[in-house]
Amino acid sequence: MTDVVRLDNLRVRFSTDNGDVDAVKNVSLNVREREILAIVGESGSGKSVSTKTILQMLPDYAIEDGAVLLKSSETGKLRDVTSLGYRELREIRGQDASMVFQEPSNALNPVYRVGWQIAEGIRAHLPKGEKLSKAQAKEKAIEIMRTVGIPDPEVRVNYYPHQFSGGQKQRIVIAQALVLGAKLIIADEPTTALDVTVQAEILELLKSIRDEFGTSILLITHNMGVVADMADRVVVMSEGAVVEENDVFKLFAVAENEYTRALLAAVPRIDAATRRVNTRKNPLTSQNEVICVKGLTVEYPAGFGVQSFKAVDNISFSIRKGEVLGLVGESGSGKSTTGRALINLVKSKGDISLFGQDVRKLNKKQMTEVMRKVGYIFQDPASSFNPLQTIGEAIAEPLLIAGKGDPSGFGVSRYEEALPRVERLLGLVHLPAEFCTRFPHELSGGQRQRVGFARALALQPEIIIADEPTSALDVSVQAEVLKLFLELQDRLQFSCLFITHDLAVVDMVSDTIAVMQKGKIVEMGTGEQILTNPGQDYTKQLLKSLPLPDPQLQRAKD
Amino acid sequence: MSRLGNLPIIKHIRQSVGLQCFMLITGLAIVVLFVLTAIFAPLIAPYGFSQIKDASGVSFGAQKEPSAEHIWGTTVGGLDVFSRVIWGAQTALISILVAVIASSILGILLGLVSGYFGGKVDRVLVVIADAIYSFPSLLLAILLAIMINSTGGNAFAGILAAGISITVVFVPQYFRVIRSEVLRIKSEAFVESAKAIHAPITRILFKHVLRNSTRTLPIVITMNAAEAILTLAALGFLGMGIEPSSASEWGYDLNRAVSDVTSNILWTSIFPGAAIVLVVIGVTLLGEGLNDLSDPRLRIRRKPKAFDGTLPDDGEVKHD
Repeated sequence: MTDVVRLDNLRVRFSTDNGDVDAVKNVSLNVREREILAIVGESGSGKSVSTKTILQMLPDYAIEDGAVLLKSSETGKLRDVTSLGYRELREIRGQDASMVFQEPSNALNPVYRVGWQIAEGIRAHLPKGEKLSKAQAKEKAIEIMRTVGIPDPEVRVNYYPHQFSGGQKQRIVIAQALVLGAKLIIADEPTTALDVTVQAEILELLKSIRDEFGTSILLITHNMGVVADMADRVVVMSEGAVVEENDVFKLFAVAENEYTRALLAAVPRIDAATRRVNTRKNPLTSQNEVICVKGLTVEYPAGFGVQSFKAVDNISFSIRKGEVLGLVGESGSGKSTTGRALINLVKSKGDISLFGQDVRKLNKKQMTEVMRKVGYIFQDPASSFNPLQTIGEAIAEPLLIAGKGDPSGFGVSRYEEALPRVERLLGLVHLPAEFCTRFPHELSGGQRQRVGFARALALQPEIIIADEPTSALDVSVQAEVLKLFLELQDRLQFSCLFITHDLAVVDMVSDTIAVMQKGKIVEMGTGEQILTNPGQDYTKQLLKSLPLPDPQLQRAKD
Repeated sequence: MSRLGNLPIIKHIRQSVGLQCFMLITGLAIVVLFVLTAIFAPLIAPYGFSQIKDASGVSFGAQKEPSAEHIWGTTVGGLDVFSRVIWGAQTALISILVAVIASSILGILLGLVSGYFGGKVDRVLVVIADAIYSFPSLLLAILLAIMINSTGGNAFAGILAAGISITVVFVPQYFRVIRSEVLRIKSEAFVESAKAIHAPITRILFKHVLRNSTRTLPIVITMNAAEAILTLAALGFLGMGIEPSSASEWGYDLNRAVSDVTSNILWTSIFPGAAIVLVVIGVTLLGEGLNDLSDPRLRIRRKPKAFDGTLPDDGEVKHD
């Protein structure tokens, strides 16, 4: 089989404010005809940058070295694109290779009809002097929209991007990539921004495109489940270099490289061995309910031309002392809103009682006291810290706000007094005490989330609300942070509402799982019940859509 | 070094290349020269700003050509042009400082409150700001200058009057910039994180929101400073500015020099005029340079160094 694209000893160097950085140190790889090659790696591994060289989409402040050979659709021969001029590059883009981006909402122009946007590529590539009539363009757009599975393409060709769902928008982006008949599609994290059920559909579509049109696909992803589902061959990248290249079955069965093995081991799986009930150090015995929620509703009021919307619709649950309740659901299911309603960040209706006290009946002072016993961990550690505060100040802030004489006994009136406690907290999350004087941007994502834990634990809360604490992190970092979470939970035995979209993560951390859909809890039970024997169709669908990080099992599903 | 290197202007110079670097450094040099002149005016200027006789009591004489005693000549009122221009720098600097400090403090506080709390207060403040915007700013400044000048007459009152007139015109700009930044910052996760630990509202406002909203301030300040000089000069030119006996003012000198131009006496107008142009250019270059560099999309980046190590056939990178 011949190659569609080949990178030979590719190196890429960026100029940054802090000097030059070699983002790609030495990458050689090839994609064959009709092949799906997956490039996996964690953030900063250079996987996106390497593939951007194929269409010469690097910014001005980057230089490259090495050869990037792309098969020409005219001559059928490989040619080096690094030496091409602007006019020739315009020709190869879309015609020889095309791209599918991560966030379909950003990849489409909101002010043009999708049909026009699909046909734009055709118009841009018309030979000189030839013209494409409006009717012809529309016809082509309809045809390709039908191919990518958009229902009623004759009508919807005239729609604007906002009239489509996220998954459909991604289908349209794929249609744009297909319309010129490119023999290579570079898909850069095409399903990362999508929910798991939608992800399954898009992956299915990409596979069918390969089978139908013989298109090669270069799939960039960090998700091992997607790799197991899709890839023929896998290239593993780390720190700008290829560490392993292998057949997908071999890679998952007997990875040659140590880094690959560590990466695979870090992937969370739905597995009895890692299920929370089996990893607990202290069995859950208390029947004392610290959180009891009845009929919680969060409604966004109707506006001009907007109907009122119930983000959370009459849900009830309770959490016992020391229990972790995992709240899973897709985006927009209301799981985060539930967490925010508990600490009064959004207005809600219904009964919330914390530690047996009805929060609606508390005065301001009592409320503050109750809320000090609740810690909150945020999703993205990169944005949840004030960039101008040091780590020490961030952790000490709750102590300072509590003030001296706080019932927890940790409150202080000056930053210096908080230092011993701050250092203890840093130790608790396995960070050195020197981190006190650093700024958030000087820490890695995983370190920052550890600081997030330390800050949430500062006043020794009895309840922790963790809102997707690991979803912004790389898989190996996620594994470390989850391990830390379990260790802390074993040690401090706080109760926790753990919000996540990841079924495998929820299996690892929670005693009880509640599945949310469209603001309602559709099913609740122990981890074992929900994940091995789900009662509701929605839960079954979620489980089926989850790509398993094992090519044998994943492909046997179909 | 890293602390020093992170100060706004020094950081910007280190990041800049080519034309942007030139603009920034030229602007900075002119501004530094202007500030030094203003500070050391008593040492640099050979005569006082209202002095018309030398030490022995002999008058300078009116409209004298540049000479050894009066290197830039004298005005129609018999004042030394060089001394007037030097002293004028001091007046300009003080007026700018008064205007910038007063308008930024007021504008920032209003923008912070308006942006964070929103609601009715916000709407009223935005309408007022827009109303001031729609007014010709010079007319507004003239009105205020007349109102303030009618109450007193000394140098301090004169400069203050000019400063405050300029302030009112610029408050809406600070208000708008800070308000829009606050609107962005208040939805950031770290503000929510502060709310989640029940931080008091003043702490959220000042520690978290305000400290992160001041990114564009240096640019607005420099831009406004340039406009302030022009407004001050215009007020002076129209005779609405500072009394000539209480301070030296470039705009007033220009006004007095109008009739000289027709009789081919150029030295009385060129020097104060050039001073205005130079300072405005300097401050504008500085502001534009900061603006371009603060926006990563406008910033010109240098190319990285070329690769030097060659790759042998086995693909191993050779390190030297």
